[in-house]
Amino acid sequence: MDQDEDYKDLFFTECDELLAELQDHLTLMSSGEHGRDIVDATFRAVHSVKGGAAAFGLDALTGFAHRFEAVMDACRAGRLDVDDTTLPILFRASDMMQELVEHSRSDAPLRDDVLQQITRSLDGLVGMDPEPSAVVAADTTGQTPPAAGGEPIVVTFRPEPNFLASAHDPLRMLRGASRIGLMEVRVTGDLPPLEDLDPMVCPWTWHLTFALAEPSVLRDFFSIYDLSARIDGVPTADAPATLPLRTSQASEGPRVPTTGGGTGGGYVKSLRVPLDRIDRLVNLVGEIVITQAAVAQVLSQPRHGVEDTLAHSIEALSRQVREMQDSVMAIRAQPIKSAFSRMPRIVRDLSATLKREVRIEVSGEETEVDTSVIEELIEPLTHMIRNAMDHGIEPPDERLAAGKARDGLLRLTAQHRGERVLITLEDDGRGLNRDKIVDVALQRGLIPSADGLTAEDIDNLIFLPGFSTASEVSNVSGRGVGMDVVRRKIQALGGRCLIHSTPGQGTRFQVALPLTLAVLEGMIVEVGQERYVVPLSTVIEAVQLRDGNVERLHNGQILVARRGEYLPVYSLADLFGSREQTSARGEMAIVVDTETDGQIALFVDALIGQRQVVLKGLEENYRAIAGVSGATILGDGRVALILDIPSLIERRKLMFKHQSKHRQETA
Amino acid sequence: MKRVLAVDDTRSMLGMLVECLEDGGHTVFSANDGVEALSALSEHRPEIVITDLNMPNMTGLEFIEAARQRPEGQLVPMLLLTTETAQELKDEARRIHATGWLCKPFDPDQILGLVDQLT
Repeated sequence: MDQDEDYKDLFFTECDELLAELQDHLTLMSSGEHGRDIVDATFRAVHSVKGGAAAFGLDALTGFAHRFEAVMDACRAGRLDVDDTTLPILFRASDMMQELVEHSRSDAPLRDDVLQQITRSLDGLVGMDPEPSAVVAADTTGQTPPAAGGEPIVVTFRPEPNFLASAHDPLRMLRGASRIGLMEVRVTGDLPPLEDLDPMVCPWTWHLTFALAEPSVLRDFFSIYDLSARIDGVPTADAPATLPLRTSQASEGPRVPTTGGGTGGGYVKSLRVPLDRIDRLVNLVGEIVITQAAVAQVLSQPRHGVEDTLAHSIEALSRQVREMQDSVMAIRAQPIKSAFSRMPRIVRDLSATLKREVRIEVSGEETEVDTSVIEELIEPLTHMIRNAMDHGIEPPDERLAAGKARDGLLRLTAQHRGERVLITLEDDGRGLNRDKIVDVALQRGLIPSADGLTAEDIDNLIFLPGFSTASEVSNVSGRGVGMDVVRRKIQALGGRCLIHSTPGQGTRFQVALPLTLAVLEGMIVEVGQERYVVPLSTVIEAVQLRDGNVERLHNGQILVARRGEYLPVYSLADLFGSREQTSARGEMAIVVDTETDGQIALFVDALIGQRQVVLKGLEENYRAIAGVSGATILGDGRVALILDIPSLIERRKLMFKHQSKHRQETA
Repeated sequence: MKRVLAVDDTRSMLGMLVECLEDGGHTVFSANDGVEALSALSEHRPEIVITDLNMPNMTGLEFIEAARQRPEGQLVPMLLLTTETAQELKDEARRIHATGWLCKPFDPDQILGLVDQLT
């Protein structure tokens, strides 16, 4: 239903556009333009309003648009002149339609008497009977009275010469009929002599006997052949379906607005803008941020001796640019609801397929995320849910035996946390089977050995490519593609996946995503000749390395003491996997949160400063590099790589494990 | 799972149609008018087409007529989904070899049933 409401909002937005178009066209017509194009376009506008209104069950609007449309149709067909008599009525009808749209949208007052009056004027123009033909289809003509219950129904199906050319297929028709109770088929008709044979004409007539078929099912089935076959014997409906034309509001009398003045709608006006225009704007703002940073940098150098006033102005500019950037980003933000709202349906469908009984609780749907993130999120989210339902939540009897509620529970939540959005999917199932995960990983050669793997390490193995725990590959999850695809998708969005599982109690997947894909708050650091950007969201603080707080282990690993805790210190060379042990060249390190491996410290030669950087993908210009999420252009025009610390750590751990395994084997 | 081309100039209508078809497990391509639909037909080779009638640039009827002239459009079922009920239009649909005539508002189950029935 939520989805329908979204479409309804969209429909009202379209109505605004259509009504504006309608006004324009009518104005053109009144200035003497009676071209076919304009009359056509006017007809289409009214017609579109009618179609949408009918789809959303807005009966009053549908009925009125229908009459309006009949008039425009007459104009279009030349049966009615667009002249000084018709035009004023058309203008009034256009206004009335606007009123009906507002009424349907926000319960704005409706002038019922005026509605009736304009409706009569419209009907008068086309000499229309007050009950126009139904908008809903009249069904297949049939001469047979409704069948009594249980009596077989014989339908005669005679294809017309255009049957095959209209892309119908007799065999498909018969197959379909056999699914709705076809019992017996008799064929009549003669094949013409070969010289007269037209392969595109079907010469047969089928006499189809149905048993126990619902008349409505037969009607639905055969009505689609209306255009190219003669069909007799399908029971007619008792009462032809027609659209209610009386406005339901009319019987209740004029409405009093509930929110005061005529504008009291409560809906937010919206404007549709092509996404690429917004992207262009977002990019441009990004460039302005860079330029502004460049100017600020020049000013910060004292030798220029810039006057204070100029510095103040630049400061103000920075603030404004930042604000402008925030508002531009807000244009692209959308509630995550549009992705979340699809999930209950997926759960429902899967419950049937997997014979599980599962409830889903969704919260935080109002959390706003960048549009492109939402689009990209649907697939991994769907896969996570499938995985939880297939592997996590137990069948009902197993749950009862374990003393759990019969229904499994999935909890899907979204919340903002700092510069990120945190999406959590929790199930109350059996939790991950770690023994089995290790077995599988060993079997597939995904890990050299299980030695030294923590529970968390084991849980994370399910994200490895080629991993699938289902002993029989089910057709729901586990087809060689698995959680690795989820992780890849999430990483491509600049996000991370975390997993936490408690045996017997359930599993929690967490996905942390950046709010936007375009701009990043970064800490610029200098290492050797290069400058790098470390995402500020991961930086905790900077520490000075002194004799008093640094320890060196026998294997060369350097540790720094920080508030009673020792953190490993790495150099970038370490993290990029160079075998050379680097010494502490710099005396500075920044403390970074890796999300999965706690905090680490990273040697830097200098801290240059914090600023917003515009993310440029490496893939488009070079290729993806593990540990680097992109590049940016700094204020001075230099290119700096943006480091992806967690993936650097992961990469290093993997290499370290392989090395230690190798050492054990050679020892 | 079928490849379906959905054509409508009204975004909400097209959205609902596409969603209905996708929920039915089909791969859906969409176009906003007849001209776009013709190129989508060549590019994506759908197995069935569901199109609106009244559209700018090229109507649903004009689109089907043009599509039937092309090899890739000859055997593809093409359904008109419209609020129109005029007999002349239906006659025209018959003449240009439209496969079927469906009335808006549509019933999702009916649409999905028809995709199965006709392909």
